[in-house]
Amino acid sequence: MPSVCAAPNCGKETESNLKCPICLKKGVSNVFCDQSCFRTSWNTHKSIHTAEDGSDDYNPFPTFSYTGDLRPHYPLTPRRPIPKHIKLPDYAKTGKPISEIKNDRIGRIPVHTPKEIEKIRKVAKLSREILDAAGKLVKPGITTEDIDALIHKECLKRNCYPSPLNYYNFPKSVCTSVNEVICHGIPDKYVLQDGDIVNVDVSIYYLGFHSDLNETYYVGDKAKANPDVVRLVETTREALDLAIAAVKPGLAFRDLGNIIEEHATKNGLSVVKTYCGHGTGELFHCQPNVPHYAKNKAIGIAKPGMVFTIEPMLNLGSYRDIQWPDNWTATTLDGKFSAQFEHMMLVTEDGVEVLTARFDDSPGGAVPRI
Amino acid sequence: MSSTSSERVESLVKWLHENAYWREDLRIESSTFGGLGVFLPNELEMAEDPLLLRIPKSNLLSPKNASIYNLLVDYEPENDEVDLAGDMYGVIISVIYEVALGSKSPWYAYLQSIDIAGSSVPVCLWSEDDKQNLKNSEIDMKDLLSDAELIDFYIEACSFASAQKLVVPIPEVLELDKIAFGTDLDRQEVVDTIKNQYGDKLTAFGRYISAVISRAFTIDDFHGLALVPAADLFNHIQPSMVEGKIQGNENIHFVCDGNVCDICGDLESNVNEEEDEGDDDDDEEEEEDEENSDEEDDKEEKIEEITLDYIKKMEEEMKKENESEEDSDTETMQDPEEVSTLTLSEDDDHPELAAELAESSKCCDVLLVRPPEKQYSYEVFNSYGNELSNPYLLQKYGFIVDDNVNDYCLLSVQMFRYIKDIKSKMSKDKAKQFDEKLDWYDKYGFEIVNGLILEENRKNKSHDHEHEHDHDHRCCDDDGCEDGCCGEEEEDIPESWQLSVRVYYNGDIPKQVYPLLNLLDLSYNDFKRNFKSAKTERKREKVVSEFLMAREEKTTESYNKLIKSWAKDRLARYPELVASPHRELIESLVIQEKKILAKFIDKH
Repeated sequence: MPSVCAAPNCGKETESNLKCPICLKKGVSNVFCDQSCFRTSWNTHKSIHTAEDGSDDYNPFPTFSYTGDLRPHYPLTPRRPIPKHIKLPDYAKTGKPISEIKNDRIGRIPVHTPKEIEKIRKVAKLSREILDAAGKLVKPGITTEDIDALIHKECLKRNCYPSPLNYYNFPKSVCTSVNEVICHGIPDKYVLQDGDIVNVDVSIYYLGFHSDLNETYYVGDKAKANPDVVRLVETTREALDLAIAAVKPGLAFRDLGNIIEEHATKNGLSVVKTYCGHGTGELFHCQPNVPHYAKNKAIGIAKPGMVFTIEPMLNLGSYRDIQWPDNWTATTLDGKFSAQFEHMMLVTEDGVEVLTARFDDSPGGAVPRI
Repeated sequence: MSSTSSERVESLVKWLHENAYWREDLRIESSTFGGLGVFLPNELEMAEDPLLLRIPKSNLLSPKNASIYNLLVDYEPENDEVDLAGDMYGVIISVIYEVALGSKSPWYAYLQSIDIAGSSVPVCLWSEDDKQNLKNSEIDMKDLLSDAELIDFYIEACSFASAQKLVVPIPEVLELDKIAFGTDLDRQEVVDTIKNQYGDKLTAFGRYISAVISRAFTIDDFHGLALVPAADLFNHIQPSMVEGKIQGNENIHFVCDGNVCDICGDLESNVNEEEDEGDDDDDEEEEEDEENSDEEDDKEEKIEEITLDYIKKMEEEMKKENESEEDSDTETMQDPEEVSTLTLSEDDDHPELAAELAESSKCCDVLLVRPPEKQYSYEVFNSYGNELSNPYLLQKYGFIVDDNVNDYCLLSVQMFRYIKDIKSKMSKDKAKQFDEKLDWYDKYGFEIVNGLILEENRKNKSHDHEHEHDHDHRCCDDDGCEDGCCGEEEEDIPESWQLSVRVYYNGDIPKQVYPLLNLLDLSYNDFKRNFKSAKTERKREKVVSEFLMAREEKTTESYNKLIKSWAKDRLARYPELVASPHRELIESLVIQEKKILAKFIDKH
């Protein structure tokens, strides 16, 4: 019986019998084509192992100077399988989004046909349902991996592929970013505490299109009672809404950053510069590039039929960010909290349609400032 | 705009500090060489860091960085000849739109420093009187008086602007409301409407062209041409002729990596790399091969089982690899050429800018190559091209210089009249035979002659009396280096035999002239017998060498006489100058041309 190579950068079927001995000890069979596959994927693969001392809750980068209180809690659960009938994006097997790399920076911003837009609308609606399911789950005591498990299940239920999974070898089906994590947090065994905030960033691939949205949720009532945290989360939510209100044909994408930064500054917050909104469609990420900070040099003018995200990340302290050694998790440089909201929108003939708009019964939502 | 020039300079410098590295002690002041110039406080020790300006390519005003780039790319041209997203056209349109954005443009502070309304009007839009005065001049000879191309570009630019009007307001200079773009238009009617009713707008458009063309730098295969804030403030200094060779006098060189991936703009292309990857299996094998060759020493055989010991050993090896990688990183950081970037990255106010500036391959640099001189008040000069003759200087930069060593005078008109005369005395058949000679020369002869002359020059290098344009043309100077001329000596070869009859600045004529005249004299029988039967390159070289290159002293004399008569003829054809807006400049241009022609006449 051939099995699929466990190296996330390989993804091929193999007759090989080469197994990871550490997984084997736990009674898990993880097969690799050869030692090269094993070697090149080792750094990712080992994150599912328990610690050498047998601990099943450990910090994989003990020497790293974390900027806040949050730590990664390994081991990670193994990669969740995708049933064969679900259509995969090109990077699902090897991690390399080849079509995206090829398309990158040619300067064309896709303009979608009405037929394509119909499909994108459908996908966007599903992604909202999936995010809402996670939002309902968020409470003190659950782990971020619980959120990942749910998102994965909700995606499969709707025949969607969870876009983050194996995108540049990202190990999970969703990004969960807690407290000082700005974005791209990897779901793990961390248990959400009363007073935390968590951003759940859902992206799915369905009918040949990606949809992308996220929200930051308060965890427990303690978070909602913290004036700084509420100011952060609500300002970010408003900043996104203000930016969306400016979207219409003729908008220069570079202008969105001015709107967002103005609102952030007014509320004593800073805007992350490293990560930007982006076009979506047949590709997970494409043109336009949408910076959220003022005085940026983004390229492009909005035209009807374009689909893109705005996803401002605002910080209580410094705007600067740093990455954990997992090469994904981005946190604030000063360890202070960061919040993010994201919508995916369509430029219409006379304005904008928020494709990932909230439903009446969507969990989360604005709370009054204190 | 109401802001004064000094306020504008101040905001430009502020912009530079936010968007580039700009050496602290550089001053931007008005220059006796025209407009603003860049000055250093005094003579510099050349041992100092030569970096004056470094600007990330992402901060250049190139079409690809402009807000409207996606509109340019999506636009379907009315006229296929004009590619609006392409090089020069793209920069001009982008600048027009960025200027129209006013203070909303990220380049506002920079654009304010350009006096667009005060820029020169391209020669091809000069008045009829000016054009009349330019008859017979080199401008006329080079066919730079026709406005057809410029107007085609203008029509296309206006048509683009009109097509975008629902998305972006039409910049004033492109707004021709009496013309219904997007409908079936008769080109001639449009041209007439523009000339008769929108002359001012056309002129304003021309000024944009001049402002941009005179400032644009060639960046790389991705960005093409772009405006480089502050790099364009350096004034031009003309080269001198030293011992028959052109020598540049510039203080700075503009440097940037030109060989980037034209799709993604990076030095190491992701795109092309992926291109090879059609077949995943191949790729995998390649990776394995690499892996194996790396480990040649301890030839790792295909293992049957992964053991815990294997993992331990592997982790140790990976740790070592990581460390050595870090080591090599620090090494490259200490590359002497990168020293200046280290100091740049200490800027804590703008960490993102510092990071961008640290990647020299993604930046453009202006480097000091020669200290500025006291006699020019330490103004720092660039050369806009040490090979530019006055007609091209005028066309590109709107000015001419006195005693331009790159000037020459074409005698093509006279030569063709001479040929016409010869043929008019021939029967139809003979004239046809005569043309056969010229066709052969066009196809084979001229190239062979050039080759033989180059060879001869190389042999005679030690005592070289010939005029030889040995340009000190550095790679990535202003105009970039398209032909890989870096370091190589470049000889002046006329671009075609038709343009080979000319008089250079020092009164010499190209060696190519004599073989051409020999050919004209060659009897058809000789031609038929020797040239037409030469079927191989070597045989053709032999006949050229025997019949065209060789000649007697007496013949040379008579040829010189002939050319002298051509030079005199050209001299006689300069029109009496009438009053016109650019009369003074034209007069200076013409005087210089006449001097050159006179030099040949006096010599022979």
